[in-house]
Amino acid sequence: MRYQEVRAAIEAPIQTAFGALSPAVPVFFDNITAAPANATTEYVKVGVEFGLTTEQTLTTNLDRIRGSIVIRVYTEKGQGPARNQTLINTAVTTLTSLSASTRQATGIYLRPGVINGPTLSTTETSPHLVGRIDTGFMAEDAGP
Amino acid sequence: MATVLSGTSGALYYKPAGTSGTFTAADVTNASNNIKVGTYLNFKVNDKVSFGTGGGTLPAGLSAATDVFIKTYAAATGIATFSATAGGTELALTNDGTDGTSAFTIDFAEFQSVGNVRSWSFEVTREEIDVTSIGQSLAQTSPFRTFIAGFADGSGSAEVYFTDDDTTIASRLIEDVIQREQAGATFKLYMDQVLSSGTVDDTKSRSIELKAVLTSASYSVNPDDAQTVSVSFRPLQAPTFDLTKS
Repeated sequence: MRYQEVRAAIEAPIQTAFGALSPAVPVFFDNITAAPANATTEYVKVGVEFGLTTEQTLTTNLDRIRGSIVIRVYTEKGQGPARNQTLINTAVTTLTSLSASTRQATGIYLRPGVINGPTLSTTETSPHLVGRIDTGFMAEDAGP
Repeated sequence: MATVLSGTSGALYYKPAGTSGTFTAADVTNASNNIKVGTYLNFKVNDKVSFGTGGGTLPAGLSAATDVFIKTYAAATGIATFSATAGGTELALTNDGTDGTSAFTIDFAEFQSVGNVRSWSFEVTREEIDVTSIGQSLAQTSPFRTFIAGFADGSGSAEVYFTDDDTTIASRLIEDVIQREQAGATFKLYMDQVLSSGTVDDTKSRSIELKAVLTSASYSVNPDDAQTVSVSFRPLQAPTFDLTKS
């Protein structure tokens, strides 16, 4: 079970999708300390959590990876939701394309589940409107 | 204070369907080191098998006391060759043997643990025979019927995870439902599996052993759950109940 490869299967296409926008929107993943706490620019934060990663049988455990993905999009506050939802759409499109992935003889096979959101929120202390989507995922590791 | 056993104290062991056959000396071709053990059985390469003499003498090279392995088996002809070790060289048969009062037997030698089993269940039922006497004197309360217990029967099922490894005994269990010749299919259902020095100690374990016919396989696929197959079976004859530790 290769957790890092599973994480990469989620993060890489999101990084690519936001990097391809003009202008590119920076994406910060788990444990990336460069995330700008009070930046005035747009950015995206992606969180990947693993949940149940095995199935139990009477005599052993079998691999079956499940987890959750949370994507938060930070855009300028007070300008309406349009820009935020445009960026959220990039995230949703990326997750949807992952949903269409097919299982190969080797490598990681990853499928997001039902996408929840977007929900929009603001706080007094932040200059951002935060759009959030989340979904579960399942992954199978067919080996390198 | 007694300890309630958890489900993981149990296990399911299995001998595959179609792994029991008979043959006579006429079925042995010692020049080719092969035996016609029966067509369309379900022997696989490296299956460990044992032989019975049927009161005769097995072909030289084989012994009732020594298990050997299937080296080749052609279902259409029923012809098998053997090796002394898994994947080893072909075992030489230097004569055809001598028939006894019944045919020689070949059977799957040892139970194998089915690792992908999530759960098993086995239900024993008894018939109820109504022996109520009619014409009873009426009284204040309604007369009750009278019953005696009749024949016993059983049925079982196992929920098996469907994995990407089709070489496991679990995959064989699933496939065996459509195996025409089912002789040899045998379950050993442990409620309390105790190991000694790495092997199952049946004197300290508790189990139900039954020769079975596999009656159904129910495949279940949806995006939320692990894929499972529910295999149903029923005993061919009275199971052996070992419900004590002695």
